[in-house]
Amino acid sequence: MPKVKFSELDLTGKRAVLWLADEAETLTQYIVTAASHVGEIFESVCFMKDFPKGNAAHTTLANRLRLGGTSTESILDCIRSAAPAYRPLGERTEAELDELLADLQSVAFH
Amino acid sequence: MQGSTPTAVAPLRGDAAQHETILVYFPDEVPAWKETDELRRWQAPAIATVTNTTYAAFAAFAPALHVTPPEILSEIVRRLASLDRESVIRRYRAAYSEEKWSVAYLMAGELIARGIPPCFWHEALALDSLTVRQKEALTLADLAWLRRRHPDHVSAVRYQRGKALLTGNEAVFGREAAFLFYQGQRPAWKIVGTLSMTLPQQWESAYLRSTPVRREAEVTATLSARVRQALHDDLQTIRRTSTFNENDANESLSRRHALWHCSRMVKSGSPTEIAMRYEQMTGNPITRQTVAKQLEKVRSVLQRKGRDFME
Repeated sequence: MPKVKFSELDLTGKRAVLWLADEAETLTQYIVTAASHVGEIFESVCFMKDFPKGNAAHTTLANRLRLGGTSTESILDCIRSAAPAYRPLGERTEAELDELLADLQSVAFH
Repeated sequence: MQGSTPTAVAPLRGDAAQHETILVYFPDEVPAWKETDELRRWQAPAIATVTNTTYAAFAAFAPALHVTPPEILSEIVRRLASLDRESVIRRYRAAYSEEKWSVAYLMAGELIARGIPPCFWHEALALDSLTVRQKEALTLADLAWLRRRHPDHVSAVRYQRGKALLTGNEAVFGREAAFLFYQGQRPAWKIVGTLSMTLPQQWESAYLRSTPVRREAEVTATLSARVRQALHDDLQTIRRTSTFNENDANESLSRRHALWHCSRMVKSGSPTEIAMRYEQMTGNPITRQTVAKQLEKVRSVLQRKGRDFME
């Protein structure tokens, strides 16, 4: 049972799946079944934009996406193994927003 | 049917443009093509919705915002609203230079909501050495400004995709902005032409400018320091009194320099338009009479220096 359903994604999510399918040269079905959460789809898009075609990290993730739901390795694990120094989008954004919120709270405090 | 609201409006395609019809989706109804007269009625609420969804529009380019818990985003937005404009601009600049795009997009949304055009967000932009992500951020900000502040421009746009960018929902905006941006491969002047952007709209943009406007802005940036120095030298000749001290002189210098900057952006020379630009630039309102008077002084100072940099 896939955790992400294409029909339940919004326009941005659907576009991300289509873009990934094009980038990994596979079918959208494999992209959808490869992801356990919609965030992993956005992570993949961001990763593939940071590591464009021709890069080894791009190939690693593309290979993982082509496997769809048949692989036990999650997309996030694949990203971590493909580029150990890379900070995933979600982690980066969370840190950025936490920092911003703390900054704004300190302004209000003063 | 009359009382219901369309959930999405698709842009016209192919020869449909000639018939002025649009495909409309009503909840629980079969999609149907409608005449443009009805479209105009539907555009108004669509534009009204856009004004409250600037942040949502940016989510298409910063996907992490898309999956960030809404309560965190709304808390940030609430706190941002209490900051003064200089604090927001400073945070935007820091986020842009450090490539913290989620923060930059949130700041951009706040600045647009406050009516500060993107041309005043940056101190200096090295347009020739931008990365793709920087171009993307600048393009999106300019497009979001155009969409939010110039919804009437839709009638001047020739292409249906361009119209959809201005009138569609935030997801459509994201799609069309991505199409226009084309992963950084489409030059700014081409996007300007595609959207039939007017000269004032190009001046308001930080990146989406045609070559003549861009060159003109570069000349303004080059002359800026010399003009400021000339104005400073002139103010030094005025005797300081109890009613005109050093602080007043500095204020006058900043005001005249900003007015000179704004006058370079308004080719018609209209004091009313210059006053509007000045308010956008500084946040301080100014009357058109004061603008005319101050610019006359600036002009005479610059003419005495040998050249008039007013046009």
